Amino acid sequence: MNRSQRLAMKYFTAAIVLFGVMVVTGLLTATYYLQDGLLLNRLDFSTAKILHINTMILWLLMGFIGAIYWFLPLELEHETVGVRLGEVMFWILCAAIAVVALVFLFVQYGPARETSLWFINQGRKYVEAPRWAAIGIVLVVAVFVYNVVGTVIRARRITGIVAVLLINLVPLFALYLIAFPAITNMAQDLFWWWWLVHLWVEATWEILIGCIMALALMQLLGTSRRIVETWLYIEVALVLGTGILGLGHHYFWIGTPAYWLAIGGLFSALEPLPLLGMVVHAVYDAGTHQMKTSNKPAFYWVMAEAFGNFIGAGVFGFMMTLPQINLFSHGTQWTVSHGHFAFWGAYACGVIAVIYIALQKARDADVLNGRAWKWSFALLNLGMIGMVGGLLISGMAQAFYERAMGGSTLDAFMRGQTNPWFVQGVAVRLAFGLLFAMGYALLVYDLLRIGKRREYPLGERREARATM
Amino acid sequence: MTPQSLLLSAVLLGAFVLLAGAYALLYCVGLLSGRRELTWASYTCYGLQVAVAFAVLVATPLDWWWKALVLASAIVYQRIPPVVWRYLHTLHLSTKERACSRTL
Repeated sequence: MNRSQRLAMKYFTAAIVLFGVMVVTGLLTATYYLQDGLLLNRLDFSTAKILHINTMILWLLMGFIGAIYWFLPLELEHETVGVRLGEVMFWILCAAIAVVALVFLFVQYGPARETSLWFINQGRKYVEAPRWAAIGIVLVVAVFVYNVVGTVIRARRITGIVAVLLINLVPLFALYLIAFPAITNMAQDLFWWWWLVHLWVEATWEILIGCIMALALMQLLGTSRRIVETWLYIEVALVLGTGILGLGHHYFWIGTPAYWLAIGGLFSALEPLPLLGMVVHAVYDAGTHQMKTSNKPAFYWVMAEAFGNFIGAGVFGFMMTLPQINLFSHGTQWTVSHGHFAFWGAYACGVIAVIYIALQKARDADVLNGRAWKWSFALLNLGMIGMVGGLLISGMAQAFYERAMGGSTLDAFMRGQTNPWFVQGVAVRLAFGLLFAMGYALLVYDLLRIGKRREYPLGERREARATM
Repeated sequence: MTPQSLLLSAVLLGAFVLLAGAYALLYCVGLLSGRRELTWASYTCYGLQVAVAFAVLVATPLDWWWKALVLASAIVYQRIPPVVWRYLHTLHLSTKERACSRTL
């Protein structure tokens, strides 16, 4: 392993730790729905939720950054430029995350003054980190951009995948600057805030994970560069073609002009098309390799990514994206079920796959296999499917009883919260959340030990035993 | 939009995309394994998808342009698995041929 890859391993470790924090705070937020007044005035629902969704963003981002640090030297055949600075920024980022988490836990909120924005909470969903920490994130991403650009210049080499990555780094960096609020008009504020949340997630992150998956497939299956690069260009064109204006489905009920209903509905309806192409590609790849690979966990997680993305973003998204339905489903647990499944399929599975690929190389293992990964794979995916199923039922009950029948009044909202369908849905979510947590524990166990003991394919194992 | 038609519309739209996925999956697995029954099962899924599109047309209170969009999508979805498959196959073949010609 070179220095950049050692830094990547640090990022992967931090990502998995934050994944754990996300799981714990997720379980806690799920419990609040069943236990009114749990930890009231000590750790309110809002604080636990902030920790849950912020760690989700951070662990995926750290996974992406780690993946680039891992693949970049291999791709350009040159050590990453400025990797020492990258290491310093990694520790600064970890320290900042720890401090922000402690502030969220113990200070939580402050008076309506500038100092609260700077040191406690910026108050905008997904980017609650106080301003000083947001500046820190900007610096970390700036150093990351410098690492990538510097390496390309020093190596005097560029590939199609790196070219796409370089172009994508510009919006990845620039869009985060919207995390610094300055607008007091709520409709205008939300309008720009969605540029950060949606365009990060459904444009720059999609392309970033596309680049990472292209690099991963070359390592994992030996897929030729021409194939992955051609497919990457098509995917980028389709994702950007549908994803950018698909932003409109977030503009439905926030005070934006009515034409966003048509634009958002149309382009969101087109979003499943590239995802369907990805399903075909995944099955084709699996078939041509006859499901044989030296790294089964990574291979299965890549497959899970294609299918999870299709069902989570495509099926669950299309169910509720047309304006006439979205009028009732917007902001209910229905949206939450779509969000959980889409994030899991599109990004989390991909990051886990890359970690397994890195571990195989880091531990010099010819074959990566075993039983623990299968259990963790099954429990995590089953847990996720159960959670989103429960949330879907709760969300549909909310849309049905609270919105469509009750007319979205406060009274209807309160009655909706006690509706048996809603309560049973959130109970199912908690039960499957526990299953998911077990899957996470097994994943950690597996990541710690897989590949450390030499694994042999069946025939070779017998030979190895015979020679002992 | 009544509460009942809200849920019906959403379930139909979800089923529409899910059936598209089942069509693509079975179509590819059928071609890979050379099992014609899977290919026929994929066409059945597509048939069901078209039936769901018609159900959206007649049984939901969506505006006509959204219904037109769903119907148009149903036609486009029919071509996606064969076209993507053929493209991938050609791409893989040409890459293999290139690799072979380089080694000769």
